[in-house]
Parts: sequence; C-alpha cells; structure tokens
Amino acid sequence: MTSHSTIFRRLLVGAALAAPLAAQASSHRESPYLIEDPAVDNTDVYLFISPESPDRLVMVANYNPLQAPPGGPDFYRFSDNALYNINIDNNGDAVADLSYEFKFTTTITNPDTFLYNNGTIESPTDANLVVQQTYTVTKVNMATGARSAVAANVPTAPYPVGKRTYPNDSYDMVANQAIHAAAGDIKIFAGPRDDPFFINLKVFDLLDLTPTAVPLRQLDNVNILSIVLEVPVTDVTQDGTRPAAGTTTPNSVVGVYATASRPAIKIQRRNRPVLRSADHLGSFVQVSRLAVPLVNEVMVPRKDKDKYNRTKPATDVANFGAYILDPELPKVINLVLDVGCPPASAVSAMGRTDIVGVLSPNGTTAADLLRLNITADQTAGMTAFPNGRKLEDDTPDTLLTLLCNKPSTPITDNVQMNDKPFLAVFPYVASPHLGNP
Amino acid sequence: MVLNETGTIIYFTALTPEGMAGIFSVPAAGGTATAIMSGGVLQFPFGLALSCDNATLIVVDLGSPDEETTMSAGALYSVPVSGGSPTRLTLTGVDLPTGIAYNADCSALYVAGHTADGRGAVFTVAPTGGAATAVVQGPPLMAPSDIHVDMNNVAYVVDHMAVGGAGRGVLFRITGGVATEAASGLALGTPGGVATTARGGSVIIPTRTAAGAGQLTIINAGNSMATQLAAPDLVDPAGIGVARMSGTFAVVDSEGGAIFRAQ
Repeated sequence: MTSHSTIFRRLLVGAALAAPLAAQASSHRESPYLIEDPAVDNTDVYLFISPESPDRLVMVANYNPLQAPPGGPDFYRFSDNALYNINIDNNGDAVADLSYEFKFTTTITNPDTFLYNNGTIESPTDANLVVQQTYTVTKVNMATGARSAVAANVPTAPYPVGKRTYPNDSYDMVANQAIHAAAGDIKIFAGPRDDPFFINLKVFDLLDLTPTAVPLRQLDNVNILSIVLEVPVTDVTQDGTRPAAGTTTPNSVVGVYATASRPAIKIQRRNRPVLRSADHLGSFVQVSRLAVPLVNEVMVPRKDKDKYNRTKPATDVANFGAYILDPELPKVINLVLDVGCPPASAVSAMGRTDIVGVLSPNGTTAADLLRLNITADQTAGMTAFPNGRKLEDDTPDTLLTLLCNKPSTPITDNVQMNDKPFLAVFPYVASPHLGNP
Repeated sequence: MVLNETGTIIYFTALTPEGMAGIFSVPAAGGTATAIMSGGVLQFPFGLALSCDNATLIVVDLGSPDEETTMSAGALYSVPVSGGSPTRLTLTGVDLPTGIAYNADCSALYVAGHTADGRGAVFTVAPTGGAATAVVQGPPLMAPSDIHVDMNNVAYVVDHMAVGGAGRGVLFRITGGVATEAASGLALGTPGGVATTARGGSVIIPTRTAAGAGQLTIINAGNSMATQLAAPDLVDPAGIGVARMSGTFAVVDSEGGAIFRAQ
C-alpha cells in the first residue's frame, strides 16, 4: 500500500509527467481549439445494433459539452455555421466511404424579445418558440461526391427550459415530435439530451480514483446536443447486403467517426443583423473528430490534439502511432497509483501492439474508428465496447484497464452507470434535464 | 492576386510581419516583395483586380468598414500601383463583397458578393464605384468568392458553399444573366481562385485532391471536361491570377507562404 505522502513525493519527482494530466479533459473540452468553440466539440460517438431491430444500426454523435440546463436566455443549439458529419468506412481501409451530413439553420421568429419562448411550448414548431432550428440531412458518397437528400427542414427538439414552459411534465411529448421518420426506413433526431457519458471527473485531479460514499458523477445533471441516426444496416455496407454470419473479412465491420467542420474564415462585425454578427467564409475545415473515447483525450499529447481533430483516421498510424505504441497514461497511473502497469515493451518490442489490435479488428487498417461487427447474426446484445459502443458501456473503466494492461488489477473510476436510465426506444439517449425542474 | 498584362509583376494581398494587412508586388521571376501599401483602412484584403492600363488596383477588403454606424460589411478601395493611400469606392447594393474582376475592356467591375438579405450574388459596377447592378442573385449562388471575366465577358465564379452534381464547391459560368454549373465537387482553397487562359479556352482553379494534396483543376470551357495537374508543393491553394497578354499564371499558397508561377 502506498501512502499519500509517498504519492506526493513521486508527483514532485515526476512533475513533468504528471502536469499534463492535471489539465486534460475527457472527450469533452479535450483540445486547445475546442475549448474556445464548444458548439462543434464532438464529445462522444456511440454505435450499436438497434435494440428495437437487429436489422438496424444506430449512430449517436454528441456535441457541445457540459451544458448547465438553466443556461438561458440563449440556450444551447447546434451552430448554423458548421457541418456535422457521421462518417462510415465500410471496407476496412480507414477511409470514409459514406457520410451523413447535418446542416442546421436557426430562425428567430421575434427579434424584439430576450425570451427563448413567449409562452408554453407544445411542439418543436410552436409559435411561442422564438428561437427555432431546423436541419437537413444529406448522404454523401465520399468516393464520387454524389449526394442524396435524406431529410430537409426537420425541426430540432427545443431546449428543456423548465416546468413553466413545459407544464405537466410535457417536455418529452414535445421532444418526441422531433423524431423524424425519413424515406428509406430512417429515423433521425437532433436536439438536447442528458449527456450519456459517465465518468468520475476527479480523475483529472491527478488521477484521483478513490471511491467516495456517494460516487461523484460530475456529468450528472448536464445536457448535451445529440444527433441520433438509425438506418437499415444494409444502407451502410459495402455492397448493400449484410455479410454472412461468421464472416471475418474487413468488410464484416463498419468503422464510424463523427466530425464537425467550420468555414476557414470568421470575421467579427460590430453591427450586423441578428444571427449574422460574424461572417463565415471559405471552405469547410474539419475542427473536431471523435470515434473511440479517450484516444485523443489521454493518448495524444496537447501539442497534437488540434492536429488530431483536423486529420482523418487513415493517417492516424503515421501521425499518432508512437503515442499508441507507448502511451503516456500507464506511466501516469503508475506514478500516481503505484499499481505496476507493465511497460509497453512487455507486450512486444514495438510496444503496445495489443492496442493497435483493438483498433484494427478483422484485418482492418488500424485507425481511431469505432468499429462494429455487422454480420447477419449480430444483435443488440452483442454490441459491447470495443465492438461498437452502447450507451451503457463503461468505457472509462474498460480503457483504463486496457491501457494499464495488468489483468490482475482492473482500474476503475468507481462510476459504473449514467445518472438517468437510457430509453428502450429511439432516440435511446435519456431525455435532458430541465433548466427549471 | 493579379498579374500585370505582360506577366512580369505579381500583385498580391498579405500580412506584414507585424500583422498589418497590405498589398504587395513581386517580380514574376522571383525576388523580394515590395509593399505598395499596408495598414490603414485595410483589415482583410480578399481580392484584387488590375486596370487595363496597369495603373490601378481595386481591392476588396472584407474587414472594413469597421464602423458601428453601418450594417454593411466589406468595401472596395482603389490603390495606385505606384503606392499611396487607398480610396474607398462607393458600392451601393452589395453586402460582403468577396471577389473582384474587370471585364474585358475594363469598362466595368464584376463584384462577387451578397445581397442585403444575405443571398449570394454577382454584380457589376462602374470602375469608379457607384450603384451596383445585380447580374445574378440567389440560388444557385450561395457564397461566391473569387471571380474572373474572360475576353468574351463570360464570368466565372467559384462558390465554396454551393452544392453541385459532384458535391460542394462549384464553379459557375455566368452569361446572359444566368449562372450555370461548370464544375462541382471542387476542394477549393480559401479564398479560392479562378482564372482562364488568355483566349478563354480553359478555366484553371487551384484545388486539393481528396487526400489534401495541391493540384490545378483545368476545365475545358467548351465541354466542361476536367483534368488535374498535380501541384504537390501547394499546401493551401488560396488564389490564382493570370496575365492578360501572356500565358503566365501565378498561384498563391497561403499556408505555405509562397507564390508559384506557371506558363
């Protein structure tokens, strides 16, 4: 057993190692750029076979972290000046073959009030809703550039302002009206939800993993903006059919990552119409990327975090392979917790090839992609991180233990579940917390 | 960027080492850049045009006017190539101008920009400024950027936000008050550039490959067939200029901080 005083001394000696951890964040607020642009901060991606039908695939991409639900009067919304994409590699080469592109448009129905709404809200297009947002969804063939409209002018769910705006617990009734059924048996939802990520954020205070009587779940009671997309599995496979059960070729898995992109130029103005106080020009530049949780967060050092967000998975090995083969986190775990995580060289002369293996199932190209087996026998119950990621998967514990690589010593943050139960039906992510409960 | 008619001098916009926006010239053969002007009213010069007598530059500045008394954004200035203070041109009816070009005989300026309600548009205005006339406004134009007018007064404009048959990033050809797609799915740089060969037979656009490498996309103006010319040294294909009377092109690389010449 290591005493606290011993830990303190080791921290002093190892300050160069320990210092970066103290300022790291989870998938939320993980890079120098994104802390200044949270509307495009992609916090988590989930990928699972639908619990409602094994023939369907669910993709969830969350943005804009750590929302305090009472945060009005301009409550959180997606940015109109951004592209939000869910990208899919269906042949294992780590290059996106398909992308679902989401583009949002905000309308201010009454610019002469500070209020978010002028009365109770009974639908996402309620006349009392002053700030309304709609979106389009386009499916893009990344090889040819061909685009097909999936949905247009779909309203987002409004923000859960509080009990006076949504009397008689009516928020869920309103939000459910934002579930859109598109042609081709596609379901779409975009709007505020409870943040489904659960972690003990004390880990970012020098890896404080000590249990407490009541687990500290600092992501309790915070909201997130979710894009939830459910499509037939065959919509995203290489040839439009589902690989046979037992297939282990690279196209037996799909790899998913989400991104957000901004126009290259933003010019601030002194006096412009509402929603146009800045001009956005130029080509879209990818500024946020996420697939497997905690890769950019705790494996990529700060100097390369923005680079990670602006590059594509196909170049991950070249750009970040060294950080994966010899990750920093096990060294910090040893420094702070003294649990004896073995050195990277204990796995192989190259280092942590076991992690590379996790990132390249079924002969796929190693990359940070959230990969899921989509062969014909797969069911919702077979999704378990790192084979996809369900909402309820305890990924921090899984990844901490994987990175430490000492099977006899599982590492836990002592938080094993979300603060709100997930839904059994689409959109699956729990309804958001009311600003005024 | 623009070139003089014989292709011996390149004019371009850039920042000084101190971060002041300016207009510079450099011999096309290479050498040291000379500031024509910097600082002052210019904040974010975005496009340049050169008069037929090679004496006057027209610059689109996105940052100005930096005033609280107007709701318009962007302005046009004229600047003598010999140096001196910019003179602001009146530009009525245009919001957020982004691209500028003279027509074939320099009797008019073509301005890519937006209408007051935010629709993408292309206008014409007298070289001395004044009230602009919309040539095309609204879809398919979304956010037009650089513009070029060939010897037959056919205008070409690149649009980062427009979506065409092959994806986002469209080259429009504008004739007879109508914008038609000439190419799409173009990975444009910012602000992007477009130019034509001296006789207008081909349109040249600096773009990026899917992997991000620089290239020149050359589009046959007659049949819209596109070919690619690899330009791997080009990091961010920000703009292109062509000399009126020679086959000299110049491409600016805003991220690499370089200008390339092609003939």
